[in-house]
Amino acid sequence: MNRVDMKVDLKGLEMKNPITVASGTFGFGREYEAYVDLNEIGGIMVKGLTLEPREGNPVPRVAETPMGMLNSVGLQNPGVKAFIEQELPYLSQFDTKVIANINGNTIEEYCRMAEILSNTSIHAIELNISCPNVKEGGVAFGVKPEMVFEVTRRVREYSDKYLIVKLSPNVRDIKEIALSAEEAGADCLSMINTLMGMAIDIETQRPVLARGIGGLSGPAVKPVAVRMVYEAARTVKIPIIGMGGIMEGADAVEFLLAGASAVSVGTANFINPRASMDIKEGIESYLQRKGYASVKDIIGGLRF
Amino acid sequence: MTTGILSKIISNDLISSDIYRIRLERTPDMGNIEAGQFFHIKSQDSGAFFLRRPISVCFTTDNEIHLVVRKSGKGTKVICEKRAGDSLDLLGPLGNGFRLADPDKKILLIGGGIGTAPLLELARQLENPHVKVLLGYRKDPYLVDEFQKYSKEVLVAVEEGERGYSGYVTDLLKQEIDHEQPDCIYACGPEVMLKKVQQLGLQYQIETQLALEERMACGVGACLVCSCKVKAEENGWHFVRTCKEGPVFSGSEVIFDE
Repeated sequence: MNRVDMKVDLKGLEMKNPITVASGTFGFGREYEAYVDLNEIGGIMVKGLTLEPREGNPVPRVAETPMGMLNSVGLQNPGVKAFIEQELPYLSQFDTKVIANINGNTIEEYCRMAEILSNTSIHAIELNISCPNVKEGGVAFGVKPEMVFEVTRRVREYSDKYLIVKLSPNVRDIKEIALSAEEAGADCLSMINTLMGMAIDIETQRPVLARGIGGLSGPAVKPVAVRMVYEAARTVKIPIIGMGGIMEGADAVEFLLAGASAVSVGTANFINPRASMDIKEGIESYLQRKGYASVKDIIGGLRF
Repeated sequence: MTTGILSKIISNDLISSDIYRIRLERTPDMGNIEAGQFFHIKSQDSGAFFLRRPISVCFTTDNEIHLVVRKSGKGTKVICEKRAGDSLDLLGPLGNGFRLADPDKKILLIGGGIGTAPLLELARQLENPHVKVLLGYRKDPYLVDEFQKYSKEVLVAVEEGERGYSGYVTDLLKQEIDHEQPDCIYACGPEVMLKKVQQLGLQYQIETQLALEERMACGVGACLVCSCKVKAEENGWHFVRTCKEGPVFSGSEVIFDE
């Protein structure tokens, strides 16, 4: 059987296949090197970076809920400079797109990070305006269309790198948020970040997470994510990287049909370190079974 | 490229209230196993609960690994209800185990509750005739007979029960230190016990190695949910990963929250 063409073109970012791994679920790649050949992944969104190192939130930072998990890591990371010095050389050995996920407390911090990263070998910036687990910044920039527009426009001025804006699902209307990012110069949207959630231990009558509220990911959020990708894809012209609860090839195909040009594997990595590869193979076999020559043939192919 | 190892259950026995001993087939791709390391375990049909559960190695032979699991929630319930012939999907062994002290050292092992489990493999691997073991349980002791095979003496403390010393295992630790100070203390158990071990270690200048427990997701150092506070020059502390830098830490570096 002929192998299908898995290459995707995100209008300025070409990837060998539509599989990326989601920020915060794959460390800086090396954590999974024993399990996955990183050359086989289309792109790696690295752990969310901040201008200065951050220790993150107190533990417990994780709670399992039916078909999902809540996390409140709070952007623990070594800072953008340590990333460039200690992690980027490692990642650059591989034939994959390195996507730096950046987070700021202020618009100025986002801009400064974009500027610093512009002079490196990264392939793209993922502007994270949707982290639910930090006091300042994060999702505060991602819920109002005018803020989304402003932070995207300003970051755009500081970097020529391919710019992905990562959207929050914790919004009233995903379409107006998506449109604001596009109008401000985003090259691509990635969606969705986690849905804000909470779990309570009824014996202690306290929240399971030390911080109370966290971000929900995993299969529990998938229908919400597919719906939002579908709505955004009908609203904007820029490509979308779809994510939210993708555990197997069939889940990824749903996102592609809904209009995503690529997908991101997140929580699944925690259960199956080779999830990204299994999902890639699952898409391939779907395409073969249905007689498609290229993965591009199903993007946005949803029928009514 | 490794992935989850499917390992068949040889037997699964209830050895105390809600405590199960699961014997699994050891496969060559598991490689060397250090005492204190853990396997990250998924059952094949965990239903709505799908994250793996980190379970430390209790005992090994050339052909088997033994895990002692406490049925404490929905995830461990699924694992504990598995029967001989079923398989578990294991990642590992993961993490850093105990550093083995030289055979001429005076060594004390102290375990509390389910934290006694990883110390059995440690006692076996130490191959030290001078090892003393202190085991603390709330009610019904388990594994005690086996500890006796790999040690000079085993003392048991029980909070509510008939057998052994009535009280906390850390009371026995204090008595032991007063009686004959060890060179090294290995500990695994509830945080309140580990805090006390750490404090006594610092007070009497005894090296301590503590095996910690934390909620985990990935188990391989990527997700950063299992952070543990350790001493650092800058700011006084920083977070490291229990799954990757631990789960065994030196008592001189761990910072327990008040």
